[in-house]
Formats: sequence, structure tokens, C-alpha cells
Amino acid sequence: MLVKALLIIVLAMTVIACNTQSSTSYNDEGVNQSAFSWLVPSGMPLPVEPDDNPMTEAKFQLGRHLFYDERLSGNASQACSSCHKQEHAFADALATPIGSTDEVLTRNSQGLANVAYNATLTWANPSIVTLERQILIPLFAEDPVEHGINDENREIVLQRIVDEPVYQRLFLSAYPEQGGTVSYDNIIKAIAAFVRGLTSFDSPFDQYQRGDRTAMSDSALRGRDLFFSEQMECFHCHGGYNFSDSTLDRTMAFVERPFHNTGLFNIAGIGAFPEENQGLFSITANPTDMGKFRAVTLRNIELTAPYMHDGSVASLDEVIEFYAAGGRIIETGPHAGDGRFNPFKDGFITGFEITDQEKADLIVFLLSLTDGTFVTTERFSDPWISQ
Amino acid sequence: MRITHHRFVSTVLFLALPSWAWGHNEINLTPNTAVDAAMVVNYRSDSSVEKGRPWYVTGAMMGGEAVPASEDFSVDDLFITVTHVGEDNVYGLIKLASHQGSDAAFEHAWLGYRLVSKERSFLNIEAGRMAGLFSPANLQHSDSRLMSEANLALDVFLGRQYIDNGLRLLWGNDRGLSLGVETWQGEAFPATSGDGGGASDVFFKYQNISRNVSWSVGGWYMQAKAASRSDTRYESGHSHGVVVDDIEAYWFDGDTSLYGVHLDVQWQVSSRLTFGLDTEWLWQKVDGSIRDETRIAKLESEANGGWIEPSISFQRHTVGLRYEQMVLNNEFSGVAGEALAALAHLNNTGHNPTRSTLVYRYQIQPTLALRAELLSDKSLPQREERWLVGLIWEKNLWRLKKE
Repeated sequence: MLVKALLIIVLAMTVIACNTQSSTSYNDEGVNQSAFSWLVPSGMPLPVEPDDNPMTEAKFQLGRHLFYDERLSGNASQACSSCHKQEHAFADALATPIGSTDEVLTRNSQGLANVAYNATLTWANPSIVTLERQILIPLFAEDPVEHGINDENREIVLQRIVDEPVYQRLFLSAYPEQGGTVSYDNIIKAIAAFVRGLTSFDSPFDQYQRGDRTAMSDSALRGRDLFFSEQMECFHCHGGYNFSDSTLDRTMAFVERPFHNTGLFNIAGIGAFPEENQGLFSITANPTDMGKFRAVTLRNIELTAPYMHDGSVASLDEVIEFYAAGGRIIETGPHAGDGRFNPFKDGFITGFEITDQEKADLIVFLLSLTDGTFVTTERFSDPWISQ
Repeated sequence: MRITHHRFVSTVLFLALPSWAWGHNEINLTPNTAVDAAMVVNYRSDSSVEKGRPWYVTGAMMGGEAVPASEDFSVDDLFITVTHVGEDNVYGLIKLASHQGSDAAFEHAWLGYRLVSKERSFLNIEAGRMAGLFSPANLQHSDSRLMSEANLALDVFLGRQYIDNGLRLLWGNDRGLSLGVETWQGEAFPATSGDGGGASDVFFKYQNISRNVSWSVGGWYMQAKAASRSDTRYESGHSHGVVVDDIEAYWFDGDTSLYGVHLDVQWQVSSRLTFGLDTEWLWQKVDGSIRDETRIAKLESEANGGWIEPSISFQRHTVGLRYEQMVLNNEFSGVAGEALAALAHLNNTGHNPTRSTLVYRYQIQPTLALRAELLSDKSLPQREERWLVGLIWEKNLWRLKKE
């Protein structure tokens, strides 16, 4: 009797336990719906789409044409693509770019991979949080001049666009409710749509994350472990799926827009940076913001050299040496100073010991972040070549 | 005076009630003072996760002390225990322990007082840092379990073992029934301490012996509250010697309810042969929210898991088999649900974690045993086979001899 009762209890427990399958369900309130094909892996959160500029394929294609069109500049010599080249992950391989009037800019051209996920868009301006606002700067800025569109030539430039037959079709397709109006507002929205659509999630690292265990070498895996270690501290500022702590997507409720001083300069030992390039301080005038810049994504970092906001570090090898030292020492000249002791330096830039093998592994890992599809796909390429 | 068999059994059970399970709270309330020690040394062919990688049973929030067993040689348990039972009905226990190479720490330090001690019942009050008495398995370590590794369900639902600062009232009678209530500060997973935290539980157990079968059955309910609970398993000084850097940070706020039923049967066929069966099943309900530095989503979970463990002992030899299974269901609401599920490793779509362990234990001498195990571990989606050999040493180092 007792044995029977016990067996019944055990059987009942087993039946209760076995009658279901593990599951995970989501009610995402429609957040993962979009009229646009983002080409991001399953499970990856989508970027934010501005309410006044939702993504469409038509706008993306119009923006692609405008992005590669030199006629969109005062003297018809400069396109967005002049400083954002696909083969360099939409950076330009220069320390600092040159505008349409040959004026040399002060800050390095950033790569545009996954720029849609950036919480802020420029190197050090916390108020520029949409591409639509950021694009105003290269198009219309006067100091320094980039595209060089100004009050004197803006109608001329616009007329060039109006006169192009290809654009008549593209604008009508992108803005049918407006009858295909060609305006700077629509131009900016279309370019923003194209740049927003430049997603990059097909590097060997991504392939490994998706289960392809052959995608990364042993050296790259060792480098990955170093990258995500407290020894190196890299991931604190370059962590997350976009390898930047300044990341925003539509799932986020609290937005962080951090900037960091990495100890590149310490002019006169008072934490100063070169006058033309003082980072967040230029916007806030807060002394502790001196030399703070946004941590850019490390995706495709192999292709976006030279590095740092001023392009002053030539190679990944030098970047690692710089961080290992905990700052940069400039012994002579107007910028002389020991960046290691910059009083405003980020707490994570403390320096570390690294062997040659570890450095090699770390670099191999960084190279595994290169997305070959991103820099070769026709979808992101110059459409005028085929026309 | 003639003592009937029933009366004898009842008396034995009554005396045994405070020590109703192997492990930490085992105090024979006969006045005495003793020092005991134990050490478990194992060699494992593999671990359930790659060395240096964190362990996540996909679909469950992990915490507490639930780190995977180490590959290679490992001192899984090392402890020394001092127990004292005074003539004045005051008793207590202090235990200094190290697990898997962690720093030695006072794992238990508690005092008890027998408030009521009648012929047919008792009422004890116990307070301090102690293990929850609600589940017999919660009192066990590698030395006191038949298997070397902790039960998967306890690893997942209770962070291996619920040890906390708390207060316990325990009532029992000579018919084998005991009832208890415990309230906790909340310093152990799945609870947190401070504002919005804390835990409490109630439990019962009934033990009996009829002829040559001894058995016990019990049930319990626990509620734990958490505020800003994070996965602290691999934090410095708390990692059981496991160093893992890339832990994703997330926090849980909300309530966890746990229910459990357990059954233990020992059938002594002869003086040399015993059949055993131990089983426990736990159900968990979670209602709260999960967040990281930028996202938040509502989380409701229903999960269950447990084990069934038959065994057979012949003289000094014991062979046992433990089968464990879990079912983990999560429901997220909010725009960040999918992202947070991925971050916290809660996106289980159809994999019921299971694990089977075949064990052989040979009691070489009263203080020393040999253990060998074969495990088929599918607690993670990829199956893994591994084996273990180890030694268990347990000894009373000192006991106050009374005249």
C-alpha cells in the first residue's frame, strides 16, 4: 500500500514536470515592425526612426544617389562620399578630411557603419542626436567649409538636383505625397535615410556569434578574451553589440551619451587639448569636459585608420601601445605634455601590461570586426557608376 | 518497561527531528560540544562550460553560488564545524567553509534555544546565518549528497543553496510531523536585502517508519523579494575561484515565489541491502522587471524543475542514478524584451535542461569514501559527457567527553 502510494506521488510529479516545453514569448508592442528592410540579424534591436522621417526603401535609394553626388556642393566638387568611402567603411583614410574649398578640417572622418545606432552623431556634440541635424553641418557649415552650400549658391545647387532626370523619378518615389518636391528638407531626409540604412553585422565576429565556430581563429578568440577583460578595460567604452558605449536603439528607455578623455594630450600639464579640438568642452564650457570625445564603434576599425578624433594615431598597433601606456607623451612642441597625467582622463585609461603575443591576438580580434560584405555590397555603392 | 515497536520508532524519530537531514543543521540535541571536518576532492574530465566562461542555464536568471563544477582537480568542499549543545537548552553551530577554491568564510553561525520541550513535542527558535530548512536538499553539500554536483534545480532557483541571516521557528511532535517558518534578511539569491528585499518561507515534513521502510514527505513555500538584483556569481572574492570578465550587467526587480515537494524513501530489504528513492520538485513564479543601463522590460516567468534519484546500497557499495529536468518559460512585455532576454540569457525556445548522473560510492572506512560518476549533461543545448572520481573525507576531530 505504502509503496503504491509513493509510486503514485512520484508518477504524478513526473507527469506534472514533463507536460510542457520551455519557451520564451515577447510582446514587443510593435517595436520590431518597420516598413524598411534593415538587414540586421534576428534578435538585433532596430535603430530609432524619427517620427518625421520614417525609413522607406525609396528614400534610402534617393539618399544613396545624393550621397554620391558631387553636385550637392557649392562648387560641384564634393559629395558626402568624398570623405566617406565605402572601401574604408565610409571613412576616408586621411588624418583629417579636406573640404570642397581645400580647407583642411580639424576632425577625422568617422566611419558610418551602424551610424543609425549612434546616441550622438559627431565627435563631441551631445546636442546632435539625429542624422537630419548632423547633415546640416557638412552641407552648410562655413567654418570649416565642407560642401560649401551657402546663401549665395543654395538655389543653384538645388537647381542642379532638379535638373537631373534620375532625381525626378527618385523624388517622386520617395515623396509621392508631396508630388516629388525637391527641397533641402527632402534632400537631408533622404541622405539621412541612406546613412541610417548602412548597417554592418556580417563580420567574422558576428558569424561566430551566430554559431559559425570556424569564423574566428584561436588567435582572434584569445584577443576577444583580452578585449573583454578587466586587464584591458577596452569593453567599458567599446562594448555592446556596436562596440561603443554611445549606442541607442528603439528598445532603450534610458539613453546614455558618454564622452571620454583618453589622455591624448595634457598641454602644459593642466589637462588642456589643442585649442581647435577641445572636445565636449567646446560645447559645455565645463572644464572637466576638456578633451572628451565619443567612443566610436570598433566595427570595421581595420579600415578606418588613422585613429582618434584628430587622426593622430596611425595604426592599431599604435593605438594599443597608447592605451597600454595609459596616455600619450608629447615631449616637444606646442602640444607637449604627458597625457598619462591628464587630470580629466577617463578612469578606465589606466594602462596595462601586454606581451607581443597578446597584442598580436588583440589586433587579430579587431580585424575580425571587419565586415567584408559592408564594404563591397552594391546596395551601399555608388549608383551613378552603373548609370 | 516494555517498549513497543511503534513507540520505539516514534522515540527515534523524535530524537532525530532536529537532525532530519544530513548537513549543516545536524545537531544532536544531547548536550555536547564537537568539532567536525570534511573535505571533498574530485577530479573531473570536463566542466559544463568552457574554462573562464560564465554558466547560464538558458531561460533562467542565475545567481548566488551557482558556478559550474571545475574541470581537473578541485577541492569542492572543505569545512570545519563547531557545534555546541548546552544543558540549558541553548545550542549553536559555527561553520568555516571553502567551496571550489573560494576564500574560507563563516558560512554558518547561528544559535538556537529550545523554547518548549515536552514529552511529545518541542518548539525551537533559531537565529543567525544559516541554511534554509525548507528543503532537505538545501542543507547538502558535495560531502553529504550521493552525487558530487548540486541539484540543477537548486542551482537555478536558489543559487545552489539558500544561506542567509534569519530567524526560524521549528515545531515538531513525536508522530513525525514538523512545521517551520523562516524569515530572512534577503542577502541570498533570489532575494536582495534592504528596501524592497527580503524573503520568508514556511514548510512541513512528515517522517515515518513502517516495518523496514522509512520515508519522509514534505512541502514548502518561499517568497523572495528583490530590488536591483544582479548576477554576482563571478564578482571578485565571490567567484569560487572562477574568473570571468565578460559578464553582462542586468538587474531584476520583483517577486519570486517558489513551491517544492519532496519525498525520500529507504527500504531496508536486509541488513546488507537497502533500496532508496529521493525526489524533489520545485515550481517557480517570477513577476517583475528586468533592466540594463538603458533598457527595461516586464518579465513573468513560470518554471519548474527537480530530480528523481533511485539508489541501491549493498554493504559498503552504493550505486545511484539521478535524473534531473527543468522547464523554463518566460514572457516579456515591452519594447526591450527581446534584447534583454538575449542579454540575460533568458531566450529559451524549446530546450528543457536535463542531466543524468550515474554514481558509484564505496565507503572505504567510516571516515573515507570513494566516489565515481558518469554524467550526461544537457543543461545547456549541447550535450556533454563527463566523468569524475573523488574522495570524501569526514571526521569528528574532537568531542567533549562527559562523565
